[in-house]
Amino acid sequence: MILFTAGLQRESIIFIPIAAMTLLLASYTQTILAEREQLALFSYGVTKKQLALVHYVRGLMIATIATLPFQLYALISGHHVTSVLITLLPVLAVSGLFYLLPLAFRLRSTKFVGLLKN
Amino acid sequence: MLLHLNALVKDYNCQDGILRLYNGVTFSLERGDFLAVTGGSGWGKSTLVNIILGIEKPSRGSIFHEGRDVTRLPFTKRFGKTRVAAVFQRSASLPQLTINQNLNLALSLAGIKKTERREKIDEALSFFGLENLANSFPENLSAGQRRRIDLSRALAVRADFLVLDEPVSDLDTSTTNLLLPLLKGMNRDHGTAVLMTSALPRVASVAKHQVHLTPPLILTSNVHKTEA
Repeated sequence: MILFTAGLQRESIIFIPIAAMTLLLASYTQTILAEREQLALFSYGVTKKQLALVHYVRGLMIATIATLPFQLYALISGHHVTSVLITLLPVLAVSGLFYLLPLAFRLRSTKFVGLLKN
Repeated sequence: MLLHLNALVKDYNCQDGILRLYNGVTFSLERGDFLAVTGGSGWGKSTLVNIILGIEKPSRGSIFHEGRDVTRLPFTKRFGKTRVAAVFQRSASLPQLTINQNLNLALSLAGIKKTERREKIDEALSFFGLENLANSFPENLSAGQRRRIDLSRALAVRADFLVLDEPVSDLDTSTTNLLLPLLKGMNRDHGTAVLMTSALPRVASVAKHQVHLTPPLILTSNVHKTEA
């Protein structure tokens, strides 16, 4: 816990809302493309929970790639790998959740069922 | 008995009050059967498909699969070992994958071994006359071809039970004439139980049995509330 708190530097706390909002925006702009993909997967028998998991993992991957320069910079600057990871993991986890938000609302609404119709 | 719907009722809240889609729909479907659910637009045909698949919940009534009450179970647990394929009104394939890759993914998700997939895909595409389109992308196909792809997916996964929601709603007459015998053949040759909804009597006539839905009822009206 001490390590965790130590890892969450002031800068990284600011980083969380920035990354989260960016991912939320990215998710919204992807809606039309994502809907087609989700409908296809749903038709193939993928459940709503699995769809949400796929979307969350995608959010994590995008956040990981987006923060890669910062990770590398921190490592080059001599920060310990564990410290970088501890700082980064909350950023990635929250970003993934924000990327998932639009889909989660869509899956819960009756609109998603309506998408199955022409 | 593959599927039994018992006194199914579905209510919706709408602007005019409570809309009752069905007032006790009851019917059964055996293995190898072909049933068409008919009714006008807005009478709840698609909703019935969704209820059967567990996407929506009924307000009252029960759904039985092989004698087991599955009304409250999600789709994944609803039909046990019975392979179910659904073809919705809106044809959906992953646009970035070819037809071949789409079918491969669908079979993989259905738990079919890699070694068996190639043969099943080829057989299904050949059954629906789509061999030449295996490497095409879904966007380059016509509505009729996309519908046949949906059906070939159902055939490739060796579905025991196929649920189709308005399978020819977006197709012209000639494509419909091509598709219906294929659907009938799938039921006859492969023993697939088919439940299909359609507003068109001509389309429904290919089924062995038909269930006619009645128009929805408005149970309570909100009109007096808005006027007050």
